[in-house]
Amino acid sequence: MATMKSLARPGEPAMEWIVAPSADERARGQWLPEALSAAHAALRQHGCLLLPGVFATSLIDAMHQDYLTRYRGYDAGAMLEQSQRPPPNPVGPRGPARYEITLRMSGAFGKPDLFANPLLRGILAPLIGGDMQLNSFTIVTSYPGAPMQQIHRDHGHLFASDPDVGPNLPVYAINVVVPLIDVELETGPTGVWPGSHRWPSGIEAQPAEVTACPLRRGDCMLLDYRTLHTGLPNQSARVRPVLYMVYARGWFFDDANHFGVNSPDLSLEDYRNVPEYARMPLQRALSQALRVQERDARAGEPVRAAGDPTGWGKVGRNDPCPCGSGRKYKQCHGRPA
Amino acid sequence: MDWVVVVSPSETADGKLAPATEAAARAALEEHGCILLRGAFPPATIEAMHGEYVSQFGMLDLATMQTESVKPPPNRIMGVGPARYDTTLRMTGAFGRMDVFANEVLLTFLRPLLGKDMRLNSFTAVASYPGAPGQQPHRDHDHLYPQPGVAPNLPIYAVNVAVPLIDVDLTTGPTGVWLGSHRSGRLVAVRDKDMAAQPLQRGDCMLLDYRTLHAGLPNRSGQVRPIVYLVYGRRWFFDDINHVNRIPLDMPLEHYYELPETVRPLLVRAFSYAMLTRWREADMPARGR
Repeated sequence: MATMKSLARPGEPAMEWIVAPSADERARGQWLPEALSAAHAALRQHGCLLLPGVFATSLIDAMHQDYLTRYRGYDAGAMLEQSQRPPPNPVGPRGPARYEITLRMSGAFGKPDLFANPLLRGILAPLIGGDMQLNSFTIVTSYPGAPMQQIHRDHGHLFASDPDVGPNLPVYAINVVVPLIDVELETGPTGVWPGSHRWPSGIEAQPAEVTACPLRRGDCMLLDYRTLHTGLPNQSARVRPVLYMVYARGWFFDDANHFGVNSPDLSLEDYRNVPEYARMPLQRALSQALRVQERDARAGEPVRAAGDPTGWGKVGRNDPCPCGSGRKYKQCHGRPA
Repeated sequence: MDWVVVVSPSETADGKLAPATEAAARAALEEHGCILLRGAFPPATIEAMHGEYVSQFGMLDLATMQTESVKPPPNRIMGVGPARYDTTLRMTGAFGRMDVFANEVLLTFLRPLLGKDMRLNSFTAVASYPGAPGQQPHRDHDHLYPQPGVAPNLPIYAVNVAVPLIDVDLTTGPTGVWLGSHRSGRLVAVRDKDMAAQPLQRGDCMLLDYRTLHAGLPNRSGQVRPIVYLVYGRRWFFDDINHVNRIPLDMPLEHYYELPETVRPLLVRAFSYAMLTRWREADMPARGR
């Protein structure tokens, strides 16, 4: 943990938002009560939590390799061009030289150790419910030269018209940030403003008060969806891909960030290969996959137009005429010739 | 306070409730979790909607509906009790008219409750066939949080607008409601004698706070009873209970693009669903090296 440090909050112990699983906890996939309690307290108080070494580095490296196989050929220019195409488009801009990709949950990105990781689930389920759902599954890549993002929340407070309500509500969604490479401060990790999940709308964060630390492969950051944060500038020569998995209460839907895209993008075939124990957070992904199938099945289906009596089927004599005239069928299109 | 609010023909024609009507309706919805707006839609609009319903589903008798409803998902027809089916409506013909899904009387009333950026979540119909028994009392969706000190006191997050396509008397089986139950806790027992129900005429609509306990009453008539349900919610609300594994908002993409830009945000989920079909690997081919 010596490599981690807190920035610009010198008076505050850096460790209080960092909870590292022990080797035993990692091996068992289960937190001891004290560690779990500390993690929940940190997330409630700060709206952010850093969990070092939750994922096996071999899994992270496999994901990075998979990422390179899919996207290495997209330099910043190609990614910009892709992001400007009309929907449906898996790439959206998130600032200069920074792009969000909705990627298929397959290959290394389809491993239960990732999206149904037991240590992660152990933290999340008590906070947002055992029936929490994976809302989205995307990668944000910053290219060398990417400036700092605007400071933002992933989503504003609920019930925005009642300003006293939202900041006091329990958490409704948590963004799990998983870097695919070691991220030094110059590569640009995610900077956060601890405690800002409770700030009312309209309070501006001061850039100088950002908190950040280097991230290692295997670490993940958990952000209350209301916490103010930013992607720090990428002053390195490396492309920096970070995976974002958003888990939420079943009723939450983020159409501010994931409008018109199919996220999480999991095929029916891949869903069926997921072991039973890991399927719980994938109900929404399954629904999406089934809706895709419904759409595909109906792609060639003729629309039964009101003006086309051949498609009406059997209509009762006293029913309203399907042509929309307002008359009974027997007095309109059902009248004997 | 009465939960039945009469909308005058001039208010319906103007697309706006008079201040006194609106105040009465708001107070009633806050207190009861339910209001009945008498005459909110012109009867001709309802006739046209019924025509469209018959066009889309009129050929399906009870046996066929049952057969269709038990097919595996994705399935636009879902059983919601014996002889009672919830179907996703194709938003074409009368169901694609803005005076139906973006009705000015309704939107003007709902926006202050759900936010200017509210979304239409679903557009479906529930048909009860002759012989359908009464439903169990239920909420369309539970409180958002399980903590008893939090949830029942939260502002409203979604409203179900029930529009009967035929006159529904007590024999045909309207929707029975337990007034005030939107503020009850998660586990609450209700008694039949506390249920309120009103006959509905074509042009009426019921607005239900999504937390209000209600039940479809038995259909003891000889008529099929279709009721259209339009669920409007806050931008961030998603109904993960009633419409899993199917598309609940089915507007052709071409029709979406024809909507005025001011109306499209209301229908943006229809756009998202329509986009699903066009999502292909080819949209962004892999480019490794």
